[in-house]
Amino acid sequence: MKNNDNMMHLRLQLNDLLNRMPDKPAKQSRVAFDAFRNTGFPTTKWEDWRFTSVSDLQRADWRLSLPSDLPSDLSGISTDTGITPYSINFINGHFQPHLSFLPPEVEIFNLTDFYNNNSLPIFDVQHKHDPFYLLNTALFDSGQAIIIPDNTTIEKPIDINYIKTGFTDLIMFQPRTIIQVGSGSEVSIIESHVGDNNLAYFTNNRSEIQVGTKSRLNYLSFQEDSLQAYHIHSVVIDQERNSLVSAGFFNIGSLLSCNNVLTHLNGEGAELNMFGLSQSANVQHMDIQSIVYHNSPNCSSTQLFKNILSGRSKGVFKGQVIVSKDAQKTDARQSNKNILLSNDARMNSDPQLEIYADDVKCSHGSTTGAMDEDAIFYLRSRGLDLFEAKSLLIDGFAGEIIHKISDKNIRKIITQKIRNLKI
Amino acid sequence: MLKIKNLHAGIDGKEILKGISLSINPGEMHAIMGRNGSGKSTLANVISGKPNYEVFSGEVLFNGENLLDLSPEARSLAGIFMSFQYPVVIPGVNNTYFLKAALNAQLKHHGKEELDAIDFLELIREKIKLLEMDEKYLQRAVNDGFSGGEKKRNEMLQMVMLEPTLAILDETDSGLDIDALKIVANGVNNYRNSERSFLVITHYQRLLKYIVPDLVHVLIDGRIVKSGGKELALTLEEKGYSWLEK
Repeated sequence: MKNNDNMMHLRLQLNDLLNRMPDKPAKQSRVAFDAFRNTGFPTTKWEDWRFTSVSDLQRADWRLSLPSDLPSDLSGISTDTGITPYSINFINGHFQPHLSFLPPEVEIFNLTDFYNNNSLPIFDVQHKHDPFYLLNTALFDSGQAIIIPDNTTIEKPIDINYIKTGFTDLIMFQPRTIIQVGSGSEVSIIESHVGDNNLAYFTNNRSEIQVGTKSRLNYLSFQEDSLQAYHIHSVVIDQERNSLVSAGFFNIGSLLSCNNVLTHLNGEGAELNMFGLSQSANVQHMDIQSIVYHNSPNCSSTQLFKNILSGRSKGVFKGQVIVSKDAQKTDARQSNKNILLSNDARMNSDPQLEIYADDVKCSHGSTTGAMDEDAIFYLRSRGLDLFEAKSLLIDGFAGEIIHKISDKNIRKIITQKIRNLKI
Repeated sequence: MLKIKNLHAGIDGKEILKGISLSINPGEMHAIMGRNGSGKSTLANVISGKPNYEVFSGEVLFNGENLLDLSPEARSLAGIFMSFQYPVVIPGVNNTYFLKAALNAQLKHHGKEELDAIDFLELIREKIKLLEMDEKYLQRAVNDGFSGGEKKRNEMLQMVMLEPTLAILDETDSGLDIDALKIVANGVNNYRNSERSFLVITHYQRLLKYIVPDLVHVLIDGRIVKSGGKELALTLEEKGYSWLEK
């Protein structure tokens, strides 16, 4: 059976990895792998995966990236977006310390050192039902822990780049990035996922983010992976008291893209503003799954996710807001808006609220439709041609999300990237 | 300038205009009056080229050119402007950006140099003063969060920016309080000249106190049943429409 072959292959990858990385806790890695073998990859029979099939990604025997997969000449690889002097760079899954620059206040640790030094387990059983977590726990082979100390303001954003370039084998990447923001600090972090445009690879990223009391984090994930790539990115955000997080998710690349975002508003007065834009064409598939846990009183969360779909592309949004019984005075808003630019594009949208407290303000909504014909006529009646009218409307639709990015330069870059895509 | 000959048109296969003929010469101000459902807005939509409207027979010539063959944008570039009865809200599209794109489309079409951001802002600041509009509306999305009156003023702003030769004002007075009505009327009056024509569509005589038409046409059930001078509007105000119905 193919599935057994798959598991056999992945186990061999794990064995090789543990030989290469003697510091990685082998026992926990194996426990996580066994748990993964039990769950298997999700199937469309699973409630959360009804509209997103990952069966294609199981057809290949992906292997982990080896040091020899690093291109011998890195000089042609651009890691500088021109917006910030601070960056952390991974090329084909390998951390590049000599290409990475951080402000002196920020500490950075190799992932295994981070776990071992702090006597932390790599396997957190609360996620034992999440196959991509289990796979990442067993197989993570790269990633860094980035620590922002208390009362520290970092003026310029920190850009974390995952660059995939110049290989021919079917390679998988299992990076795990830990971001800890202390109390009273402020920082902007961007995770950028890019790859040469015809490379086939599978990347299963995981980002674990903790934001301390009264801290502010501007977080962005920008996904521009190869159109042949499978991109899974799970993001977990834990917020303490009076922390403020703005989190944006932009997806324009990859054949299959899944953002699984799990946020916990643990401390009173925490505020989360989450937004996302996925633009898909041809046979791309873009999936956003977001769960926001309101665990404390007086917290607020907003979510606005949009999809622009053309060709035969598909989009999935599943958003849940779960308000615990202690989380009085919760203010939670969730919205999903989608434009279908072709008759063959499909969107499945499922916003949900689960409320166990009685004194809350919650709202959710979802709209999907073609472009507004009246708006197109209005613009044409002012002399804009059909293409200009549609472009302007799409710019406007996307602009509502892009404007939520606080950094002007990043806004400009993302606007340009979205605009360059074919309608 | 505009010649409509025996126009039969409608929507969804239903005939709404049942043989309209109308001729507007340069510099003239025409008013079309009629009840709701008489076909006033259909006429405006057919002239400006709204998709879904069908022309069954008849013709519409603009400066000798067959208007019905032209796309909505080509009609705009030829010099036709319609102030919408219900201006469309376009979330996320900045009003200034939109106005600049529209003006530059006109300039480009006429082989003129497009305006840069600075020249454009100078021009638009001058125009919004005439319409007593707050500059904040320039920074918002097109018609987003505008009151009814503000939307209509934004239509007038577009008109004075784009400088059409034929402006169709479709129920521009609806949603305006008396002060706003005077400002809009003032804008239109200042804008009249011997080259520019207007077709004012209205339900009430109110607007025509401030914008004085050369000719008034009464539309009932898709037909012009009576045409006359400005005093016809006053008669309608007094006697209503029923005396004109068969």
